[in-house]
Amino acid sequence: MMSLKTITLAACLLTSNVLAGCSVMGVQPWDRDLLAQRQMQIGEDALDLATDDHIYFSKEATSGGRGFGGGGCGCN
Amino acid sequence: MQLISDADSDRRSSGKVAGIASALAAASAQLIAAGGAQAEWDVNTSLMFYQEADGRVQDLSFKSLASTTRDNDDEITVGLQLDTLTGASPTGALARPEAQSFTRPSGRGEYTIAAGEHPQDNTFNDDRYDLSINWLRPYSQDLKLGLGASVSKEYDYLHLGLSAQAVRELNNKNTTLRLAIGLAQDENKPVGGVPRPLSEMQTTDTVLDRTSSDDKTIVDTVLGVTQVVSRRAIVQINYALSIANGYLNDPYKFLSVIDPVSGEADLSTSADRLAYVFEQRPDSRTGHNLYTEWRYRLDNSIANLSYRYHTDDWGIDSHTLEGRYRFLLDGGRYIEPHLRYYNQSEADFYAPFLANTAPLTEDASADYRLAAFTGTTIGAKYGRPVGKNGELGFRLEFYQTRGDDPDVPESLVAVNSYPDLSSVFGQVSYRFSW
Repeated sequence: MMSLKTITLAACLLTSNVLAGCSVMGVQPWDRDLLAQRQMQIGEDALDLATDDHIYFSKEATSGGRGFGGGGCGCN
Repeated sequence: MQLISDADSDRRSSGKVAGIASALAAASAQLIAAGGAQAEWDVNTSLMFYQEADGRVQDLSFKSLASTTRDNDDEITVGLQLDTLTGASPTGALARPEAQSFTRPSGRGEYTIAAGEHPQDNTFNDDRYDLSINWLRPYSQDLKLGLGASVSKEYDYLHLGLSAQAVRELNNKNTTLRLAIGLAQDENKPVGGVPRPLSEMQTTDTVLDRTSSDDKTIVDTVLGVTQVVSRRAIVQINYALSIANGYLNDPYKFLSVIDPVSGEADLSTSADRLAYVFEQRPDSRTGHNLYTEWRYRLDNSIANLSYRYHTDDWGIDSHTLEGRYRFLLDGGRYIEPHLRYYNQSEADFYAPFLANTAPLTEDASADYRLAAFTGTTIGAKYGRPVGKNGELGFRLEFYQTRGDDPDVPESLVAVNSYPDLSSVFGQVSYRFSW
């Protein structure tokens, strides 16, 4: 199991690297024709994802990641 | 989920819950009315049926998620969910070569499990109501701030939640940073009261000296980056920290007390049957998730891949890999196969039984969900457009888990295996503008 310190350090390094890399990635507004479509939005199928998250939350010991992890149900 | 025996059917909502739920409902109605007058709502509804094999849990669920952007660019999302659950769930006790009897959680009545069968209480019966509101307001061209509230109620469980989030766009809106913090206060109010951890299962029809409820608090923090990579690709990376404190036991789970060598069961000190004790988990849990999702648009399809790594101080590590591939068909229709792989290690305190030689002080749980296992899901969704911006969807998924058989004395090996789960769920969804 990773320690909190290791994870925090990894998250910081990852975030700073991602942000540094982010500034050179991306598209101009006129190139957003595909990304603007509903089905390319992350989380656009929110109802299906919520359904799945609730089922797996009640059957598995770990949850979250996409959003908040726990609570809200007596099923686990 | 909770257990209700026939004798426990006096369902009453507390005044506190009714007050909070009606306040949230009133706020939702006001927001819907205000939004409806000025803006269009995107309403997503679904009906889902979930069924486990071998007479285990069954769930009929209605969900609705409505969102709108008002004239002032405020984004409002209102969620509603209703569930009806029935069925049975493994209690944690070992199967034995002889029949076993257990007291129902209410203390009124008992049930018997046949020789060689996994002990399950078949009186699960619950309704669950869930309401949530989220509100996101732009404060500048690149910054949005939001608040959220949620309440859910089951017969023996109450959840109250508040959340706040900040969303910042950078790099010509190609990078989105999100920080969200959620606070949940959940109350467990089990049928028959809260069993004292590691205490012996009560005898039938005795007056129990128990508190009626216990609480837990959960603080969740999510820090995320969403990045447009190219005209066809977008990626998200989240780090999530979850800290739970308070009552984290499952009040309906217990362990068999046996001789760890011979497998012979201890006898109850107060009743004419075998001995069982209620589980005890730590009273805090800190978990970390690292989640990443990638979406790529091809000419006639969309690939979607996600991975999650979890680790926590209960000793559980898990890996979740999920993929969806949407084939875009004529007329806006699509078909989307789905695969999911999940694997977890066991909790430090997971134990298939309690040895009668062990001190009665250590954390122990025989909950099969805390054991090491692998879960796989295979499914598909078909969607087709309906009306203006509407969509009709049909989804079918098969989920199964496989775990290692528990490490039990030789005399019990033949009747004890991991309680593998097989389930199927189907969902019909309808999305429309209003």
